Amino acid sequence: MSISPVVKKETIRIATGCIALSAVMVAVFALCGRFDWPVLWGALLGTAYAILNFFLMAYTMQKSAESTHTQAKTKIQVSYTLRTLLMLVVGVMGMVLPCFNWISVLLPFIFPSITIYIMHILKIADPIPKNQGSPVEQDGGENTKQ
Amino acid sequence: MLERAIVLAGCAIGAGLALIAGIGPGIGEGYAVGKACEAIGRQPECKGDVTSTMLLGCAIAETTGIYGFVTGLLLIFVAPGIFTNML
Repeated sequence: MSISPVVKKETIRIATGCIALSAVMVAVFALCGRFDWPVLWGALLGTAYAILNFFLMAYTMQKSAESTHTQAKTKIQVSYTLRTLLMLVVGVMGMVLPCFNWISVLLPFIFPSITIYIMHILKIADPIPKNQGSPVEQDGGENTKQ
Repeated sequence: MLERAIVLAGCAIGAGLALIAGIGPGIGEGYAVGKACEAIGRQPECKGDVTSTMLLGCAIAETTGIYGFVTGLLLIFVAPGIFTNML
């Protein structure tokens, strides 16, 4: 099981963003006077799931990128189904168990995408080098009609 | 009693409809990764860039499914209590 540097780099970025956003969420709870232990446990559970979900997705894609088109599609679709089931388990746990605050469990699920938006707004994401443009730029659009 | 049953049925139907949103990202991610495989096959030297862009794109694409999932959970666990208290 070798994890590629791209997967490591992106997972670390997303994890950093998720943890920072979770800290902000807990701070907002504290400012509203609603902070208690279930909020903290819920934030931990939700953030851990969000990071794990991104890592599993990235690892599956790393493995799929080495296979053929059809195999890659199948692997990703199976992975998505399993990750959705895992999300269902975590979400229902957060809703049902009294030791978790359901808002602080569910909110971190969307933190990875918020992190990506923030990365693009702040230009942290790697831009695509200009000398590796799309095939349209390189061959004048001839390959687009294939 | 009938009103409560109608509220519960509406919440259950709404949750089911919200979870339909989970179908799209799976198909879309599969398609995106398939195309990324083709791109890597054409230009293997771009593997890092293609994988990185694909990861971020797929993470964004999954958000739609998560919105639907969260809406479904809220309709099942939270909304019935609120709406039945309003009756």
